Amino acid sequence: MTGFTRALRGEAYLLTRRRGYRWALAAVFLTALLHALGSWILLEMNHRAGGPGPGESGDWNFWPRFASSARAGMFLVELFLVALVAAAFPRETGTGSVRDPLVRGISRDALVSARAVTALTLPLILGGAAIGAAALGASLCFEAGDVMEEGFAVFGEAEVRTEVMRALGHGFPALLALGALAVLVSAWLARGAVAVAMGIAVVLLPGILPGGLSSWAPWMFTSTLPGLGKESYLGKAAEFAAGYADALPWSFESVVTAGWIAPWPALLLFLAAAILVFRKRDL
Amino acid sequence: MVETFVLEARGLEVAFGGVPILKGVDLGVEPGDLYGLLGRNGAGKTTTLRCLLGLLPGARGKLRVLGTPAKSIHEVPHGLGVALDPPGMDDSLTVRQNLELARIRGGISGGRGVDEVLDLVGLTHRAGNRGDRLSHGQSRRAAVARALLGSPKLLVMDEPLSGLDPEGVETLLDLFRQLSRDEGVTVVVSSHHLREVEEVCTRVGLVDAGRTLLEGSVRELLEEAGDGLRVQCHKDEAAAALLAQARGVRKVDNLGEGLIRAKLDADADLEGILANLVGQDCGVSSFTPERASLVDVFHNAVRKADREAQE
Repeated sequence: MTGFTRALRGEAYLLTRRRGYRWALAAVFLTALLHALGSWILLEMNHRAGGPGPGESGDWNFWPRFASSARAGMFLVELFLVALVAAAFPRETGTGSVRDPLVRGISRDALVSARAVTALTLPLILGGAAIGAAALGASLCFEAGDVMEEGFAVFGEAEVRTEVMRALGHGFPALLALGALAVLVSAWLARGAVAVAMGIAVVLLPGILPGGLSSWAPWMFTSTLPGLGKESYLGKAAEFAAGYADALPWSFESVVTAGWIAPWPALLLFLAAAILVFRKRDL
Repeated sequence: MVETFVLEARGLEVAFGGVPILKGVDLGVEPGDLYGLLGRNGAGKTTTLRCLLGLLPGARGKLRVLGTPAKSIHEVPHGLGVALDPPGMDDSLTVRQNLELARIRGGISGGRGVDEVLDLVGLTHRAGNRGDRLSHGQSRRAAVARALLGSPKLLVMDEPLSGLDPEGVETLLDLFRQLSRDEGVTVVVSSHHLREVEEVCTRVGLVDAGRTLLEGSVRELLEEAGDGLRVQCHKDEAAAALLAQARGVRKVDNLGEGLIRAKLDADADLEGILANLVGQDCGVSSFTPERASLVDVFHNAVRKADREAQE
């Protein structure tokens, strides 16, 4: 068995045993589930106060509720991804636990690569939990179907479903790149808090770019993150599914394209940089 | 070429932030040695071990572990067990899980298993405790247990006795002795517990201020240091003169107020010396032979180094 394979098996062991990962999974699941249930409670209260009821407003449709609950879960996925992965190597260096694999026939490159696999798997697991919990919560409380407004169908269900499902898939390249970024700051910075802060700062950067640079924001992968992204397709799709036709203008298609493309070179760059900086790190 | 040393550092230098920490460490651990790496706090013991294990990429010098350059430590064939300072327990895992993780990462299938090593270090009752629920001493034991997994041929232990209770110190020293004697395992122990190291180690290296001050077998170093003799008497000048002429007396220090200390060779005739002092009516009130110890060796070497540094 190669050093990388053993490192990978070690990461899989950690993924199933570390409390942090389990808590993150539970928190994401509950957040998405409770978001859907909370939405139902608010809509029900509004309905009892004279507001629209089921079938009278797009807000009562399964698809917008599913999309917005999934997005709420994705907020946490992104925060946990940065917090768990970025802080890992600094913490392991502090406790000294990072040294043991390196004297057991695992190279630094293999260890970082295995950690990268974790960082790329984690968003799939947590993101899957967010989507699953959102689907469960929304299906318990809301009916799927055409999006209705004052008794009229605004959008057909197929149209809305397509947008929401596409938006869900669209968020994953950015999530994977975020995982790679977390590996880079983890391999590079000595203090966990600094590494996490750096990761969060990069996530928030597109939102604070000065006017001249803001047109480039969609090409920063963090813009298209499903939760925290300034140009979240999932957020727009949730609005669209609720009956807001102007939520997804034609011009947004260029942002969607950027979101499909931009994360991949960033991901490769971050992983290569992580391997290089970890080679020089004192442990 | 046959490798003489299983662990070797020649001209080891390393600096942190431009400040030199190690300025020329030389040591060589031979197969089967029970080697003590000694030094004061901050002398450079831990840094030396970290360099030898390839954990500080900026280290310069010839560094080899089991015949492999330290920078390629991952190419060392299985058989290396390491317990460094800090002990390196993952706080979010139990002791057993930490050891399981090490077993998985090391691809260890034969040799000592998790239960056996926990039993060896007396930590079976803490197997279910998380890393952050262990005392300092228990963390050390857990780290030693992890290093013993499988069938290591070389054990590198950094301050394994630190924070242990007397029973724990005895347990580990017995274990090191047994591994070295019965299984031919080479054991390297860094420590400033000189008396304990003297009990078990066959060879030692002394590091101070980032340099190797001396290295050799414990027996040779103790012989070189010589046993001592402490005499309290009324006529110290006469007694000191008699001692200086006696066979097997290497050096005499008259410390005043009737106290004399002498260094002896192995062939010194203590009974004859005492009879002579009594016969010459020196007023001997106490006559105490003192065995040479690593503490003496250590202090002498450090004092000598300090003097040379001042000059």
